[in-house]
Amino acid sequence: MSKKRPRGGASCDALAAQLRQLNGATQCDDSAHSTASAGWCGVGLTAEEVARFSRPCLVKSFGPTRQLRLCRSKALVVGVGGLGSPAATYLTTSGVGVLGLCDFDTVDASNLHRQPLYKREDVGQPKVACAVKRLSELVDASALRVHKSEGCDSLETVPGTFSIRTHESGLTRDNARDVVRDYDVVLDCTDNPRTRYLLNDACVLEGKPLVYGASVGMEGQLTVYHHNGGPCLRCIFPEPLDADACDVCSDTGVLGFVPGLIGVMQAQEAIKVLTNFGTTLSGRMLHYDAEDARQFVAKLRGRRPGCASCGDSPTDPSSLDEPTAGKASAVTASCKSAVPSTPADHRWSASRLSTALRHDSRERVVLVDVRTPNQHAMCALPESISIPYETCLADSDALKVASRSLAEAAANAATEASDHGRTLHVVCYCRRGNDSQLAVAALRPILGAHVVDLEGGLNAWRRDVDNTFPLY
Amino acid sequence: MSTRLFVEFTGGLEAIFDNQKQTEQHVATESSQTPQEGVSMRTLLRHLGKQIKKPQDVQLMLAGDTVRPGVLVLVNETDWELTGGIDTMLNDGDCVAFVSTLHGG
Repeated sequence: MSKKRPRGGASCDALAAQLRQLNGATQCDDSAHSTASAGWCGVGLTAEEVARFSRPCLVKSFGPTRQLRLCRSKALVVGVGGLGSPAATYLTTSGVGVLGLCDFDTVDASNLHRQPLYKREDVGQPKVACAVKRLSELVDASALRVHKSEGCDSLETVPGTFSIRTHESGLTRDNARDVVRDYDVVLDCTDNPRTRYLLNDACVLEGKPLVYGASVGMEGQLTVYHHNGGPCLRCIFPEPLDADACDVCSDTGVLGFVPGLIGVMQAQEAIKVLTNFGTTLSGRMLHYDAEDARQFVAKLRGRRPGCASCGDSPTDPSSLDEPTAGKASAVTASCKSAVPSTPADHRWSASRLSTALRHDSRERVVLVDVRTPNQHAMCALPESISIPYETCLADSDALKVASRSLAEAAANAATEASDHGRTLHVVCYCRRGNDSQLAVAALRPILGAHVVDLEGGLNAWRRDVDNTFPLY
Repeated sequence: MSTRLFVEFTGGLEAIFDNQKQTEQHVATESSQTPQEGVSMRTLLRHLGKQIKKPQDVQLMLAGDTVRPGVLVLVNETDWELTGGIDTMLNDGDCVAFVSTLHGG
């Protein structure tokens, strides 16, 4: 290695040594890091890296040494959705050396409001492929390397390059350990408890810190698991809850900026983990409530010696992945869990309903929308009455109060219909045909046998009758 | 004698308490405690359990005489595992938060 030092003999060297001592001698140790061909030296960032990352380098407590470490690190984002899309974007622009993207899913129109990596034209396409396309635009084409890989071979970070490694089959029981093995940090941007526990267990087994983010509705949570002796997911919550007991975005809804914020903060925590910077959220959990603009950071318990995953005598990992059925049962979110099967003659198909609604039909149909008021206001069948199952029908007391007047109205309607030579039907519908069955069970005792539900709900209506009906 | 506590519900648990996220609770001191000792978490859970109107909602927060798995209990922003769990003693002005774990992404 050539050393470009001013010639000047012993006294000059002595002066330089004195000056170095004065300065603490932290910067530009040219014996270690000068670039042979360049007329400059530094910690080892390339000229392009200096150009791109000078601002974080200028932050006193972060500096070029940490930036270099980041540029030579490997981060894995599992789940490239509401959390993963901002996390992956910021990891890319911040200069991580290798970015892994793991997701099996395709882009849905309902993703676009919170997953700004994707465009309208991407709908139906694999998320990972679309993400690669978008993220590629953020870096120099000449520096970009894309690796399709399902194996566990190690990727070297090459100075001046940015590699994206894709895992398009998603995270499974069979590949989880292999997928995480090559990375320095893993971001849990997934959307279901089962995958979260699988990822936690894989990270514990492979010794990887895990940056956990989650968001539903107006709330988000963020923490760092299995880092610096801190707790893992199972130390805090030993068992996954039944998936049905967890609110999910497709039912409870989510406002896009909440996962946006949490995802960006996941990238931030991941970078702190990678560069040993600041104080991470290991052993603490940030809870954010966008509605009231409130947040708190809670102190969590430490690593649990009895933890089935990271404890002193961990359980055989293959037995950990079993879902814990029936541990806690269903929650507020509606129309997603299986309901007791309804007799076939209590149900109408979408085409049966369509026939009954025709102008020349000899049937009079009263449509009852049992979804939430927001869903009804968003898109509903014409002339349907909104009677939300959760608030109106699930409560048997309220129903008892209303039952007499309801029964009367139904009898009148039936008489009126038959006076016109028609028969009355009350058809309950919801999104998927689950809550509508519960509604039928609640209403039949009051309104009688002409109450049926729409089998398959609005999804079936769209599929079999009217493909212009909005899908959500 | 009663102890005044600030009790918060998050992550959907507020739905079982009339959608109130932040509440003030006045919990009667049990005969076995002196007023200075305050009330235990056990007493608070019993006190809250009585306020849940719909029987089917109880299991969303409670299991037996404790909270159900997946609900994190924080006493003054600290995991109750570190403060004494269900036997944690609470005093006037203490803040207890029930945080339901989120899984969506």
